[in-house]
Amino acid sequence: MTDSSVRRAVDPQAFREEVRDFALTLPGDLRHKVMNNLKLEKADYVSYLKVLEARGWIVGHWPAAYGGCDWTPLQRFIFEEETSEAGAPWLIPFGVNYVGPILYTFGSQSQKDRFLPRIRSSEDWWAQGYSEPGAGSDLAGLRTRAVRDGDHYVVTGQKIWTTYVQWADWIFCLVRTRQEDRPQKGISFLLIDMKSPGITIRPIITMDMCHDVNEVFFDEVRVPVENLVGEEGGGWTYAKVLLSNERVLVAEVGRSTRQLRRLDKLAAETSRNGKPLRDYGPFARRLAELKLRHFVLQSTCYQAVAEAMAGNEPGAEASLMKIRGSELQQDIAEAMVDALGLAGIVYDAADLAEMGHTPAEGPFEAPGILKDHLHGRAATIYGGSNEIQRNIIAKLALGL
Amino acid sequence: MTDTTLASLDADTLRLFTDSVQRYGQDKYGFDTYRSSLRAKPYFSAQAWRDYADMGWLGAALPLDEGGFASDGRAIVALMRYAGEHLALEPLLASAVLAGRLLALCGDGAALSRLSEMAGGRKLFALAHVESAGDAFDGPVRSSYREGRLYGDKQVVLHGDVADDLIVSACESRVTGSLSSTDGGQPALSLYVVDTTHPAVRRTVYRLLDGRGAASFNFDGAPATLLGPLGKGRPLLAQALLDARLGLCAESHGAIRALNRLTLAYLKERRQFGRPIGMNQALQHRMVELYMLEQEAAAVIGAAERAADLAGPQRERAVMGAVAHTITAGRLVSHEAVQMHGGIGTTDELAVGHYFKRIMVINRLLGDRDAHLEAFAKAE
Ligand SMILES: Cc1cc2nc3c(=O)[nH]c(=O)nc-3n(C[C@H](O)[C@H](O)[C@H](O)COP(=O)(O)OP(=O)(O)OC[C@H]3O[C@@H](n4cnc5c(N)ncnc54)[C@H](O)[C@@H]3O)c2cc1C
Repeated sequence: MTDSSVRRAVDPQAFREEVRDFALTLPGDLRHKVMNNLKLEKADYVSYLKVLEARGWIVGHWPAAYGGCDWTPLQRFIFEEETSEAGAPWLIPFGVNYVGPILYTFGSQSQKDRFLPRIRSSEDWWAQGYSEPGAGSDLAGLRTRAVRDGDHYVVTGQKIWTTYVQWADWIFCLVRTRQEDRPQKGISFLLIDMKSPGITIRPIITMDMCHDVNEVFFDEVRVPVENLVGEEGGGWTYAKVLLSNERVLVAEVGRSTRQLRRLDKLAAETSRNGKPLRDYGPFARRLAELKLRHFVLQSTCYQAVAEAMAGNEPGAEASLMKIRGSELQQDIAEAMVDALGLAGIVYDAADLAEMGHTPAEGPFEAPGILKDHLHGRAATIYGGSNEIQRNIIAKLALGL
Repeated sequence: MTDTTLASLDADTLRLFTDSVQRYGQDKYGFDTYRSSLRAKPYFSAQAWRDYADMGWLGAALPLDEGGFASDGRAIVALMRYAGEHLALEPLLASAVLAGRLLALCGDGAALSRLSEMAGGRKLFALAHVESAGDAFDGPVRSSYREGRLYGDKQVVLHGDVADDLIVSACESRVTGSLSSTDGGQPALSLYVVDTTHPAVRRTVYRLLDGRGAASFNFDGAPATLLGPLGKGRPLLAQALLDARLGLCAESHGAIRALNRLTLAYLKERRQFGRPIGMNQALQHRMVELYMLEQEAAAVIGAAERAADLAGPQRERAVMGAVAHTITAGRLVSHEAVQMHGGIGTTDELAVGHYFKRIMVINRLLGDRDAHLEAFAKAE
């Protein structure tokens, strides 16, 4: 029996209604923070994960055998779209979307038993340790070494851009266990306890003046051999599966729907030289162009989901969605800054921290709008930069 | 003395001035100076400000007979290009260029006595004009002046946090009705100078995205002195703002030049897939685009400088066009600089992000691109 034949036939519209109703029950203060792009703390993210857990949806897309709901690709997409649109926080993907599926696909029975329940219950916060100073786009160039010493690997090296590792209990890393002729071949996938001696975190402040990413230093960190996932040297293959998982969701179309709606509202409420901004010709046209691009992106997403429902492997369209999704996100963010007029040049990151904090100038949303714009510049860089995505399309779709 | 000798004398002075500005930037105003100034009040280098005054730079926007350099806009361009290239945080645009030009144009006793205080660096000035932060720049003005006192609100005043005196645009009740038709349907404005330490001035200070200080003001009967002729505020502002806009283009050009230098160096130095990322033609063509935008920015600034002697609309067309282009150029150059640096380009540690934010401010400070494009088209 194939995987899809056991799935219950679901009525997408009914499921959508169900998700919408659920989204209405999100805690109001959490929604408020998300809607206004205020700073979310670990507790905020976890509280959302807890709400999902209570609803039985935290790992909806996992197989039922591992505590999931066997969601179809369409259900998963609808879930993402509706929750993001309604103001749910970013669903921290490191556990539920990234390492979880790798573990149930490639991990040992004891790894599954040990880690999967703790991901489902949000007891463990995971971080992703792939990128290194010398290995960004060229990830296979990574140099962090893991040397076998009895029952342990001894890990030495450095990771960078590690999102929220300051809150992490565990980090999954790509490490080099062997020098091979092809750099991809000697890479292994290790699970490292953040409490291990020899790990140091150095925060990186980004230009939005926030602390989301870090450098992580490993100085002879001892990692039990049982924390190796799959085969030694198999890490690259597992990571590629993970990366393609990541790309299906990167269009972030629901988030753009939400932001466009807020842009609409801002353009209606802001007056530009005595008239509502939305009646100002150049801005009205810009808004229309953004809405058109959103429509196109959404159409592309549904087409890709239909392909996935038909059981076809994702090809270059995942890269297409990543490129178009991130570009749209950035251009909406910039239009929002422009809509603020002169209030769009006033910024103090402290205004992002508190509920009910009023910025010194401009509307309440202004600081969050600026943060979103500044932070959003990274959307075309992380998860495989848009240049790399274009290279993928050139190769995969066009054979160039 | 003939015109020619005057002009060549002026050219020498200008060259000396430009050289001294460049040398100071190279020797004294590195990224470290900028960074340490960001952290301590008054959010700029007090030492640099004294140096500028001692070297006579604060006269960049003043006419020759006021001890300045400005027979045209070239000294302003040299000074503001420095500001953009080195991320200089001092009130060069607000006090030296904008207020300096306004005081010089007003030209009466009240203005001239303040001019020397400004040029000597003894007092800081700022222009308080915008009343609604949502507006691009030239929105309606409702502040009013009655019997020696000023009432109203002003917002997003660059360097308003440290300004000793403000130049404030306001309507004078007696002239509002009579002149409205000659001022494009808007009530006529006059300019006033206000001491910010007076108790009837309420100041809310904050910082801009690029780290410079700013403030919003409420005037509740603050004593104010008329600057220049009554009811002539709008044409005076328009003229001074043209010079400030030229300065803004130059500031943008300085930032563009610095950013392109950083990006180009990074393309050659950063290696991925066993070779410099700049070997990828996909990036080469984009770097070429940035280079072309920079060259064009220099060209339009040159055109706007040369237009100094032309009739009003022609000069306006050149300056507005130069702003519209440098906004486009600055935006793309800063976006691409971050992108081509990858993750490191998004950090606070590198200068790239600081230029990115500075350009965001430059591109909005005196109106956005749409406003300048419209003014350019209208001035034909
Ligand atoms: C906010 C943020 C969060 C992140 N979170 C994480 C995380 O949690 N865990 C993690 O492991 N990593 C994370 N990353 C890292 C991210 O995946 C890398 O930044 C990304 O892979 C790019 O690598 P790089 O920054 O080294 O840029 P580089 O690879 O140095 O690229 C620099 C520029 O060159 C271009 N380029 C490179 N090669 C080519 C080519 N062949 N052709 C054309 N152009 C090319 C790139 O597109 C880019 O524009 C994060 C990054 C950011 C910015």
